[in-house]
Amino acid sequence: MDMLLINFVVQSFIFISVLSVIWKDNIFFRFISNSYVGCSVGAYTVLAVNAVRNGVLTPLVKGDYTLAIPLILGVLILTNQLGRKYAWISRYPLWIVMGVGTALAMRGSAHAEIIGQIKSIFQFAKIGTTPLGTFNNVVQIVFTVLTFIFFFFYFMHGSSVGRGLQNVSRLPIMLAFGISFATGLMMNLLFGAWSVLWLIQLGPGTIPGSNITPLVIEVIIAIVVFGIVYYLGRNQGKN
Amino acid sequence: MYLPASPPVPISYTNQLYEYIETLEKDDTICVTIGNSYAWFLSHLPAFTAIMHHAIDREVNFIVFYHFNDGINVWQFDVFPALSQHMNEKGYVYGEDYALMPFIPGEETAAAAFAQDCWTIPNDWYGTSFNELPIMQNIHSAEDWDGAIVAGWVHLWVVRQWWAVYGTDVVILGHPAAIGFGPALVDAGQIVSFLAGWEGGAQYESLVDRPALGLKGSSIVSVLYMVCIGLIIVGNIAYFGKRFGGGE
Repeated sequence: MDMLLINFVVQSFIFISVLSVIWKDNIFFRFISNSYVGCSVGAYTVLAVNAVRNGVLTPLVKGDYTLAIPLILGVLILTNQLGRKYAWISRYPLWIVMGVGTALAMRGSAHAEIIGQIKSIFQFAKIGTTPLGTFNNVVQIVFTVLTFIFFFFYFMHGSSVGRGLQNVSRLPIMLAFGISFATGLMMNLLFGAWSVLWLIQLGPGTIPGSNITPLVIEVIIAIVVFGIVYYLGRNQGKN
Repeated sequence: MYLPASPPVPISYTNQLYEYIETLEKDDTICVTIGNSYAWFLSHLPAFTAIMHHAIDREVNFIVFYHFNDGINVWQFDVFPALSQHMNEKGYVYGEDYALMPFIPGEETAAAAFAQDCWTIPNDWYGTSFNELPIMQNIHSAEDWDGAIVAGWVHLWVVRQWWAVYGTDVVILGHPAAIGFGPALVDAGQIVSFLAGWEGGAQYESLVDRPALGLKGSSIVSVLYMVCIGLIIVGNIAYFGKRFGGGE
């Protein structure tokens, strides 16, 4: 059988099985989700082993002995699997990772996130240059101040003034969350719609040596999947 | 058909990015960064490939760095197939004009370590020593890069570790959900420019005249926006209808 046909059948089966959860949880969806987790773990294990082999072991063997330090620290993390008696050893490499990570993050934070961002937001000089520039800057300044108010004056939330401020200052935060959520959701919907369109658009002759339209194969797979789910569900109901 | 419907991001950012790539010259070296895992990278793919096509047109050399351990898969299965023909046409040779860096675990710490010393792990993804790769002979730290194209949600790491420390010119390709970060970072002068999602990719594809995924996908995004708006309107009508009709 042609590899392309096998690929197509497997891809269609996975796609329809995943979508079948919209109807109800079923054996096909669980099979695919468990397979996905299994395949991911397998693939990531291979990648991790390759990274250690090429990034640490190969240079170590060639004489870069400083790489023995991260290798030993990495092995020490595994001591948490040896029971309580030795688990404390695994904390040392974690402390090093957390300490170095925090220190490095702090290095650029003040310049990049505090000073730079405040300077960028409070650009009063831009106000009045163009109508859109003015609008953008006023919105930036007002929304930033309101967000500060929400978080810094949380102790006032009990009073009537505080509640009023809280309600107003919640607005920019919810707007930001809403826009992020909506655009993120749209991207995910796009992937779904793209997959459906791709499967539907493939015409006759897509699969070499066969005149079967891919859509026909998809419909057959869908009927089989949904038929089995319906049959199993009905039997489960009887029992 | 290109029917853009998305949160309003001025196209000036796309033009700014185009002009920045135009300033790169033959044999300049940029650090191309894959900052998302395989599943998420699809949201940057059109913009990333369009920009890379432009950089390849300019015959810019590049090294590929990853923030996640499946970055190499993103390169091998998503990006490289889209660029390989163009790279062959321009005579790109592995090791001379481009190279795949090893994966360095540690996320932001790894980004900082790589920027400080690109030879911190002195061999490429395949295990070949950097001594054998001509491109790496002049690349020792972020100061040797002529810029960085970063695709993923790692803008804070690269701004903190690359721009703030070395003054590296950074371009960010973000997921649409992170769209708010772009203008703030550009206005602060912390990044050169940014593109968000498939819309950004579509704009750049138009600019470099290489229609691909972004332009095709934009129409779908637009239709999806209309569907969502329609559902919201229907939901509101149903809610208010029930409320004022005496329902609970």
